[in-house]
Amino acid sequence: MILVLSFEGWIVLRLPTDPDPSDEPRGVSGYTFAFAGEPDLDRVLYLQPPANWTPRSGSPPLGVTVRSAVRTDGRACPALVGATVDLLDGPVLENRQWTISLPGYEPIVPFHLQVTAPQLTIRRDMPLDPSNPDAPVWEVAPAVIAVQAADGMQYEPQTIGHATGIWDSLQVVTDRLAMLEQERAEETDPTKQTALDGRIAELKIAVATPTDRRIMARYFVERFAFPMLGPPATITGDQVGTTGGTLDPGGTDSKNPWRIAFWLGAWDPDLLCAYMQGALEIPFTEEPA
Amino acid sequence: MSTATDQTLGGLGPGRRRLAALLSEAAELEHALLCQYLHAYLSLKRSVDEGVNWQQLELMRQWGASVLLIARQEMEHLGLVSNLLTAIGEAPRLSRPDFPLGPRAYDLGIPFRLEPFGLEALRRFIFFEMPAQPAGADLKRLQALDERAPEHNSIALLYEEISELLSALDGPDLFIGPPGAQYTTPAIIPVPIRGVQTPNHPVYDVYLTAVTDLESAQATVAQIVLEGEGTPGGSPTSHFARFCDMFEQLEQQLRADPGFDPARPVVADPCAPGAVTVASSLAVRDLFDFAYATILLLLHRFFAHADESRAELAALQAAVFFPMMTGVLRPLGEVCTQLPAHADGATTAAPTFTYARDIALLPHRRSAWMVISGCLDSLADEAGVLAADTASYAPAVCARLALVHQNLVRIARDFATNMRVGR
Repeated sequence: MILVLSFEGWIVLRLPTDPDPSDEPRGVSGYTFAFAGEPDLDRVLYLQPPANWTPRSGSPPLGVTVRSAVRTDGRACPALVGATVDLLDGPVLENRQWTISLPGYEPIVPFHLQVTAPQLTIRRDMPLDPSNPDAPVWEVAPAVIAVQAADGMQYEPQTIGHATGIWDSLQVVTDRLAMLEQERAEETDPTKQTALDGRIAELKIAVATPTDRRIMARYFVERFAFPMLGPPATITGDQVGTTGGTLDPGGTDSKNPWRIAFWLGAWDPDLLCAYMQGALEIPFTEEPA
Repeated sequence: MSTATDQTLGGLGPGRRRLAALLSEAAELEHALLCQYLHAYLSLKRSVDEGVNWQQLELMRQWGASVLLIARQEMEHLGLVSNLLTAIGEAPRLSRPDFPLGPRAYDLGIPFRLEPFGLEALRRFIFFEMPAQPAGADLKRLQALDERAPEHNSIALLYEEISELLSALDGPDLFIGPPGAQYTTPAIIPVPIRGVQTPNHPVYDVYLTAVTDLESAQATVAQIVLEGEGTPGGSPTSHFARFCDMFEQLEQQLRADPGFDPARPVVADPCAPGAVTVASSLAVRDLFDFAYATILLLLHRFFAHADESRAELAALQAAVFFPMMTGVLRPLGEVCTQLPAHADGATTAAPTFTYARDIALLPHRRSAWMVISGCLDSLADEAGVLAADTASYAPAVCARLALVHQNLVRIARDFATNMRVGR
């Protein structure tokens, strides 16, 4: 039997974009930037809002959570609904501006998944190369990276529209520009004024060129799907009470491995946010009542 | 100019030789311009910790973006001129004289030198990019900037003559290069904009087209002129307009804050002997120049390819454009201008865009892969040594150098694997 945890939500992704180098701290030649008073770009995927984080105005509610938890026998596990889903230890999209992989074919490194419900915490670390878990990403063979990497970036406005309600990216940007101009007129702090000036300048570029990446990026999804091998999961809390059974912690050689599949998309270059939606499948043994 | 002799010689007469010479000169010029623009960008301060405020830094961010966009388009122009040369059966030209060059070079009346971002550099850049015979609003703008503005632009006139020669020499013997040797945007940037094909929309503001006949050749020249000087029509996004905007904005900032300096205190002539004497700074500068020279070796094989397989061309592309230019050269350049030139710390080092070896096509395929592979390995090793030198470099510098090292390890390994070079 399998326990299927479906999750989704908005994430923070403060990513420099090509042709900037991957360690560009502020953004210059790409289309994403750290504006006045903001910390440097860090490339980290924050599935939960970072500590001491002030989202840019216009940001959606942030955080990825479990939206449904259902066993393949059809029984729901409501105690897991609302659990937070997180990637720990500073995960980044390791593309390094075409050095590690082509755009859209990058892995997330490290991939340390944690699901946290009130009575149960599940953590599973997935090394990029399970046979050599300490190998740094730049030394891992392309074929090994490909197993865990995204499978290209696809133009899927329908996927984005259904998941987020965003169907017209140009309208989103036009509305955002109007909102920021209003905000700018009322702002009195010089640093915040400058940050708004920067955002407004970039949105004006977008509106003037609707085929620009600042507009088009919202329509794309980047899909990941891979078996989770590597060290067994760490599971703490009341498994039986929460799920009615025992989760298989898995291992490097699991015949029936955990599987995860998700997409990242609806990338908003102004807000530095993206949407995540997917499911985690955990082999599961029912415990007699 | 075309003569009757040209026709009787099947188009291989003096007019054609003049065309080839002018295109080679154009390649040198585009190459030299992009180095000067990149140098100006690399000199820009990048943090409020460097003595600028947030408002100034935001303006500088936009200047940096604009200068890099122009530099990318100069690379595009170099690629387009290579296509023109290849189309008429000539070899791409990727070498150029060292900096600095006096005002008599190329009959420009404008010196070529590596200079930090500022009014002096921007003034020269405007003169490089101004329309052939400025008139109307362009002339007024120029005169407002500098009463000594030249009356004409020799680079623009060069392209005018190229255009005239192309038309005059058009015939069956002019476009004799193999069409398959032409490069277009998808060959440089093989991944479309994340899966979406947007015809005629430049990727990263770069739009490389094939030259196979007179129409495409003239369109290529027109594109270079339009992007540079903005004519016809006075494009607000031309290089000329962008540099004028930057000049005027910088002047305005200086009126409000005379102490404002957007550039790091880089050495005045980075190519002069003794310009940099701190060994650890020299090491980074030399690594930048070595990486630049290696890029040129790769580009030679890419633009002058003959018998390479598709896989080998893909491997060249995969090494030279994004990884080497963005993941190696730019970070090294940015680090270089942070490092002290001399022990007193008053000035900082800067790249010289000099190559210690002659840069030419490595003509023999297998040995070329071995030479380039050796260069990449050496670059990786040297970057690794520098990254580990925590006694000489600040932690942030070591971190950037470490990433450059890692990128080079990967680039070298992938190149050797793809080219089947023994390691």
